[in-house]
Amino acid sequence: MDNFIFSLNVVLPLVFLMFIGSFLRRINIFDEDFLRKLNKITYCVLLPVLLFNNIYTSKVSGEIDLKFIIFFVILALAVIGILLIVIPRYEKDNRNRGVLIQGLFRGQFVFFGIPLMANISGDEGLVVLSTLIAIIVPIYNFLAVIILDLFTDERHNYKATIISILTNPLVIGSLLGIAASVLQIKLPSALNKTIADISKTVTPISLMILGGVIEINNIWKNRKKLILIAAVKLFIIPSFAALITIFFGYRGIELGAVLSMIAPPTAVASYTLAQQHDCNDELAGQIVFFTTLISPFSIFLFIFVFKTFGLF
Amino acid sequence: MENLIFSLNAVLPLVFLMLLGAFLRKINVFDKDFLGKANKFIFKVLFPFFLFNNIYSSKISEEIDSNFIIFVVIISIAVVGLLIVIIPKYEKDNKNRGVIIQGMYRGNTTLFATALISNIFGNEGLAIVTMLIAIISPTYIFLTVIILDLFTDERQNYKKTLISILSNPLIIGSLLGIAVYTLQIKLPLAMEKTIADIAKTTTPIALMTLGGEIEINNIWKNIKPLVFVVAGKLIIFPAIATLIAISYGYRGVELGVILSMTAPPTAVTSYALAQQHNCNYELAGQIVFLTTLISPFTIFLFVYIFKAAGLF
Repeated sequence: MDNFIFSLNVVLPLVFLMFIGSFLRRINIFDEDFLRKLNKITYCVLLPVLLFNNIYTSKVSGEIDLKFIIFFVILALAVIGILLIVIPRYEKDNRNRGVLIQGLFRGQFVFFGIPLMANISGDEGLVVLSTLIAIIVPIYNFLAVIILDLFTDERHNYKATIISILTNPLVIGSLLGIAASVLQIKLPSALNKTIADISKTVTPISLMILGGVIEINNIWKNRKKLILIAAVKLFIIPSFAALITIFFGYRGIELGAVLSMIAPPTAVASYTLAQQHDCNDELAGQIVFFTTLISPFSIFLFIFVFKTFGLF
Repeated sequence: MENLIFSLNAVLPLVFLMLLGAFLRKINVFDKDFLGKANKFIFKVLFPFFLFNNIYSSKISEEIDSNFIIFVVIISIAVVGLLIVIIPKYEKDNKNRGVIIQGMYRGNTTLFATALISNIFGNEGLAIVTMLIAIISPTYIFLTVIILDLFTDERQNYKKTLISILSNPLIIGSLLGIAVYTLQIKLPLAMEKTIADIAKTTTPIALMTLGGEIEINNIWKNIKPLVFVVAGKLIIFPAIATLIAISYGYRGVELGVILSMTAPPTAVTSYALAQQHNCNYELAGQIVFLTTLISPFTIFLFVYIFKAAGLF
């Protein structure tokens, strides 16, 4: 019963915030234009500050286990590799292939993973997660572009891709955080407090945005495909990753970090990218919606199971 | 010196957030349309959660001197009465009157008062201050709505005023908080967490928005009322209140409580309210900005004088 309540308390606040977002959309306090701009501000300003703060307030050298980070990167790449081989066999339409693959590997880990981690293990776990995010974000972005490119007829400009990855606000925020932490730069306490204050806004705002963005149209047309994707994204891949992690002896914070990186629903950015690359963006949007809707339950299940087996 | 550093650290994060907002406006991440919508969102959603949470989460355990509470409440209301009589004689423009009056009495107590009292006296005065905030801030919001309605150019309509008071999101948030607090209703943990999460976003987001909206160029245009309000809010009002308290024999913690309640800069909500009520919100924003900027020095001065005179 305790584990049940624990898991519920981890997931429910996320669900409530999304509900508030979709309610605000309904009563028109959120409109499309406002959400787009708010999303941009969250992504370009609030999130980088949060990532900076998470890494900066940690003592990187002492707490971060390099082996674990390498382990996770290999795990993530393995998942993508398997998808690249498996998906094209089952999906014949080229415009859907890239969308399916990135829908399966790109998680909402920044918006979803951070609050999840914070609720599971508090500040301690956030340090590990922030470092993972700093490393994984550029890798994922790069791979997503390459994969979408593989499955369209258009040619892509790789120089522009590399520049856009290096100027990604999330990458910049994380790198600055690592720099400040490694160089042991001490910011004035007023500045510290400002940064911490901004960091606290990220989760509630981004989840409300997510709730507002989600729209239900044409879901039924693609329902078979969507159910399959949701099952793979939310249950099969996380179980697979978590089992390997447990097999390698990781527990507690590390296991929580892997779960926070892998179990969240498909990233909203995958919709934008699909649009830019002339892939099936309708399908991409529905994947985001559907996985977001179901993820609280699947995440709840994972936490509940791990907690019951004493792995957290 | 220690007190100056303390006051600066209390105030600088607020100034930084406003400057960040101003910067985002300058680089066009904030535009006019977005700020308008953001304001609506802050006023109708974030602030009600914030006020609700402040009252709901305040835990009053110490025994409280009810005479003293009544004393502070009477002073707080008397000041408002005095201002309503005096200000209209000096300010001819109706759209400015309400803004000036509320700019002078509504302090940013939620942010400053608790920080101030705990820095001067530790935990001793905290319960009284929390209690006072719970009583005075809804009362002040109530009075502000009436005052702003009194001084708009629109026809006076009492039924409309009453409706606008009762449907004001800030008042609804406060009243709900009071109701839940007095009935000692305990919300489920997940809901508590959701509310607290949203409440935490309020100050940073509101200050950034405010920073984006303040037209610093136009400060000179309003310089006369601004100097008047800043002197009134930061020096005259706290000086009178503390003098009365001293003459009634209050010293130490009680005097600290009065100072904490009266010396903070003008509340950020006053800006949102002025905008909702079609008053001179440009002036209201500038009042918040200037009083916040100057308050560390005036607060420092008060603390220094009281310490030197042996009253603390």
